[in-house]
Amino acid sequence: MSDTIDPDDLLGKAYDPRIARRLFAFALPYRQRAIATLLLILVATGSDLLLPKLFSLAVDEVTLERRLSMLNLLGVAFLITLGVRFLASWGEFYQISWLGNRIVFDIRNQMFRHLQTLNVGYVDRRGVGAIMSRIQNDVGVINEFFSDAVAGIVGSATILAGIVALMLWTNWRLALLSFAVLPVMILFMRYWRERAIATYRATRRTIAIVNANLAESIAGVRVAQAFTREPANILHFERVSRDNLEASIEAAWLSSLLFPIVSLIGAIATATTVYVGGQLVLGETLTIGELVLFIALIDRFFEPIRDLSQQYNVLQAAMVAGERIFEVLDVEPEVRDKPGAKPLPPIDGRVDYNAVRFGYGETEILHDIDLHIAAGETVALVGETGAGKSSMVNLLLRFADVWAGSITIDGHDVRDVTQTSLRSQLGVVLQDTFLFGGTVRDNIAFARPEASQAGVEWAAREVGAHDFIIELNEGYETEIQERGVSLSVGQRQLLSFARALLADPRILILDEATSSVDTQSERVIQEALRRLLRGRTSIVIAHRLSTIREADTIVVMDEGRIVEQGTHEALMEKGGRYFALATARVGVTGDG
Amino acid sequence: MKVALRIFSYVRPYWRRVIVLYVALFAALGIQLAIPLVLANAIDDGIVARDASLLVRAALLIVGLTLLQGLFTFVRAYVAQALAEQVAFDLRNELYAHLQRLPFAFYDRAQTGQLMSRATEDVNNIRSMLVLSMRALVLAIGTLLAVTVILFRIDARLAALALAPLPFLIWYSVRFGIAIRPMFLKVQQQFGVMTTALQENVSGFRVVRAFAQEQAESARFESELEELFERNLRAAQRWSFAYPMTLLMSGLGLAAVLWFGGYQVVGGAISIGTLVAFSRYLTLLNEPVRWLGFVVNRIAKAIASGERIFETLDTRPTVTDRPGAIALQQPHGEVRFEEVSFTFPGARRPALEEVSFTARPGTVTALVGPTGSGKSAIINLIPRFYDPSSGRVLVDGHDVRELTLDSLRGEIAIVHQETFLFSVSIRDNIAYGREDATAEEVIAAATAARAHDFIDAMPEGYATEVGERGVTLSGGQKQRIAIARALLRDPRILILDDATSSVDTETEQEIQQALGALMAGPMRTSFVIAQRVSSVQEADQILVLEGGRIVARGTHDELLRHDGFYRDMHELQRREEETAGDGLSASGYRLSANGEARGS
Repeated sequence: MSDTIDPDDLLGKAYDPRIARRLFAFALPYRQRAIATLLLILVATGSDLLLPKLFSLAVDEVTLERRLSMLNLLGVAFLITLGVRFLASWGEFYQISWLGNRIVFDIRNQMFRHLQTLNVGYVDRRGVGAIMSRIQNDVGVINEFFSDAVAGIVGSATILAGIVALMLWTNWRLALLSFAVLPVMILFMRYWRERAIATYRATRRTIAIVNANLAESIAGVRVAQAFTREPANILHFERVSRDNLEASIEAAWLSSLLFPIVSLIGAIATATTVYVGGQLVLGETLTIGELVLFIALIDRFFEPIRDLSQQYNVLQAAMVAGERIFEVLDVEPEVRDKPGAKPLPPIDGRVDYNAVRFGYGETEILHDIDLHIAAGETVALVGETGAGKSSMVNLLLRFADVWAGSITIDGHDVRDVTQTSLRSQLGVVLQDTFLFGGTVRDNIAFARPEASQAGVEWAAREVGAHDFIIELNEGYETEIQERGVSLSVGQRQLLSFARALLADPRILILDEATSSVDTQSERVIQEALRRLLRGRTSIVIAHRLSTIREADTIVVMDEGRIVEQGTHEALMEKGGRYFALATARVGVTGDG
Repeated sequence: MKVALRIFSYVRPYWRRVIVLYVALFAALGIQLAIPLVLANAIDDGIVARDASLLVRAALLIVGLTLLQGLFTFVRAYVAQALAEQVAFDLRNELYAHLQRLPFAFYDRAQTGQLMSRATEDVNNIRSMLVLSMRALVLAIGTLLAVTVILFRIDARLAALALAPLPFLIWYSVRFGIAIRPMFLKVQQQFGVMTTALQENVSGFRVVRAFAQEQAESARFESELEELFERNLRAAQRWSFAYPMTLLMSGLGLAAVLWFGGYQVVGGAISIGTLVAFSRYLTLLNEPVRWLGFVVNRIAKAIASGERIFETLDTRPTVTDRPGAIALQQPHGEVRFEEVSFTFPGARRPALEEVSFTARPGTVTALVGPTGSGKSAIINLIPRFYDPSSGRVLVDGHDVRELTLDSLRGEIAIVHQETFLFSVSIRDNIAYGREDATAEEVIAAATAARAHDFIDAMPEGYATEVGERGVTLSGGQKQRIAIARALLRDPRILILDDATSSVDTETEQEIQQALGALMAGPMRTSFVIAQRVSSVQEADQILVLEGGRIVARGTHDELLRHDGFYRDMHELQRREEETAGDGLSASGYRLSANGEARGS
């Protein structure tokens, strides 16, 4: 399913009671307020229709009975009704807005919290943009569902029913005659709607192309200038932009058509009423006041019909949005705390992989892994992409669960303890350094928000980040911009080291970055790594030779198995897989 | 006001349409104002005076007049919308063309998101403001004046009473339109904050999970949501009151007609038809007056948008062809820097200070040095992406500022550190900037760049789309396409900006070969930025930069003879290799993800 609401979906899906029921469930906690709001809608609509009725009574009074006391009474009634309408619609609008926004608040909150329980694989599969658009846009549509569709349909239906009833009650023959134009009106609206959907789809499609082109042009402007493509780009943009202009003008034509035709149909009804109603007044079966009331009501007749068609669109959009929201909410977390899971007690840091088997879907990735890491030991995982190194650390972090076998920390199976207690004793440095918006300090103290300034500075000093941090404009209080772009790759790595160091985990998991940095930064990073790894159990997916060499144990993996294990010297001497990996480089060096 | 006038200057070329628009608008308005009179006439002379023939005439008139009114309304609505679309189209194109020409210095400080929103949201604000102000504003004022005049002419006393709430209504409506805007801006702002919080959480989900920060994140997000809710509610408090309030005020006018007018009818001062006509006219006023607040709101919004758009349009491209610039023709490719100093816009320290060197045609010049030492500044000055603060950059003896940009950049090709590919076919990406290239030329370039094999293996070959809707390429594949792109240009001057640094090692070797092919072209002057000694040691000259100055220059062997950065770098890299073991002697130093060491 695409991430924007496609009009095709709108046409396909009408009202889905299953989704609607679940959407209404969100309003359940506020049912008293919702019922009060419905009452307010009824009062507002009722008083709105009472006004022309009072006016028509006044017209009759002054033309027929001519009682000034009655006129005074009607005047007072008119003013009171005005006041009631004012208060009721004020309350109605405010309550509808409160409800819509509150429900949106609840859904977003619930989705966000739910998302935090899903395992990392889910986000990888769905993609950041797709998840964002569900929480951002689809939930926004639900606000419209409650305020425009539900409340709006109730409002439009009530006023329509009120008008019809009032007209029938006043003079049913004349009423039926006025309704004669309705089939024409409905047919036209249907025709217009179909045309409009097609046209608006075209404008949205073309503007999407324009925007995509624009975004790419801005992102790639340096390449465009380097390759002198600007004139061709400008021409191309004008072409896609013109497609949009043409579609928009077509849409303008259509939207300009709606109002005149609807008022023409209305005028035919009015004219009929004036002619036939006028005859009836002459025949004294209708009063002038009633005729005036009829004309006023016909005027108001078409608005709710038009609104209903609009509200129907919102209803359909909400069904699509609702489905996409529930799709997220219905995803079961793959990794859950066992019932009665206990927190992991403070650990020494011994890690054991016992006959671990694991995979994704049908494919087994790790086969019978046995690996025993003593507390305080550094293990370097080495092997080709897809050898299973990432799976090894993901399982230890319990981002996923083993198929068979077990992983224990100090003898505790990771599945038997709570995830929070497990991860708060593990430290992680990921390959792609992710920095959050906020200050440098906030980023270092990410896992220990309560950390003191001294603590943060200590961690930064230890990894050699302090020097460049104090060089920044506002030191530790410098805001990190757009995903940390203002810092160099090396600096970002150092910050993530400091972040891990401040957390002071017994067990550290490190996925070394592959991107290269300049020689000086490299030196700083190597030193920082040494300090980071010292004195704790470390599992490193290693790329740096220096890191690998200094590891207590090198574990060479191939196709989901451990094929060799030992120190650098021992493995080089052995002349096996590790030796082959380490020496493979020589033959391929082009210019070395 | 200046901004508003400037916005309307985009309408000026279409003044004929504006005339059509207003003729139609006033015609429709006039007809609309006639209908209540027809009704009043039908009641007074038809019904009260019992003349049935008048009823037929009134009915026909109503239909006829509405038909005519509809025609004019259609013309007015269509012309206004089409005109606004046209202006939006013009504005967007102008903005785009301008953005294409703005120099690197501009993009160094601009945020992509903001530029995007100028060309989308801001243009859109102006479009909708034009429709509204050209139509609704004039219509509102026209209706107000006309109705006031008509009512006063029918009965001045009743008119004065019925219209009494009107000034207050207008004042309130306009004030509301102004006051609500900052409240909605605050809502939008908070929505942005919430979106950022969400985006960071979703993008950084591994970090969040790994550091067990789910609870803290949820609490943070909830507080942002709470704030959004509060701000929405504050705006709702305001507008939920405003609309009923305007209804109340216009209702009061009607009450006056009913009550006081009723007395007058009873007293015989006015006819019942007049009373009805009064009520109809007051109803006609409702809509335009309510629009007033909305129009004011939109105008304020459009002016803010206009300011942003014009700010961009008024940014003069600092790097443009000088008057009398000459075209660079069949150059030899000699590049010379003469005492060049340069500071990146907005930077505190200069990136280059009095740098001089010459790259002879057909030679390779390597640039080494720590981050921020001025390497990028040098390669950015050659294609004139920036102009130096002092000194001269010469190509074949011509100051680059004396050459036309197209002819200069036409002779240069760059392979960037981070490859940018466009969401078009692979073929179009390779032929970027050389749309006239034949299929054979494209394939030849791809083959030389070691890209042909993997392109050929794709389901649609060279026609395969790249990017979101197409295939995802690995870093190495992208890099080789970028190399093919540079090759196809057959440039006299070639710039390689650390082209292998962000590539996974799987294809490093192939990229090295591709780069070799690229540099080996006939009489090509090449500039190479690299972190590895092994990548630069073959260069004809190596420039060592530190703090914006060339601190050493020479060949690999010459530089090794002296103490300094280059020897340090060489030593460090050599030591690493040695400690790695006997097997790793030559140039590699990293054991990479797939087991191949990386380096070179």
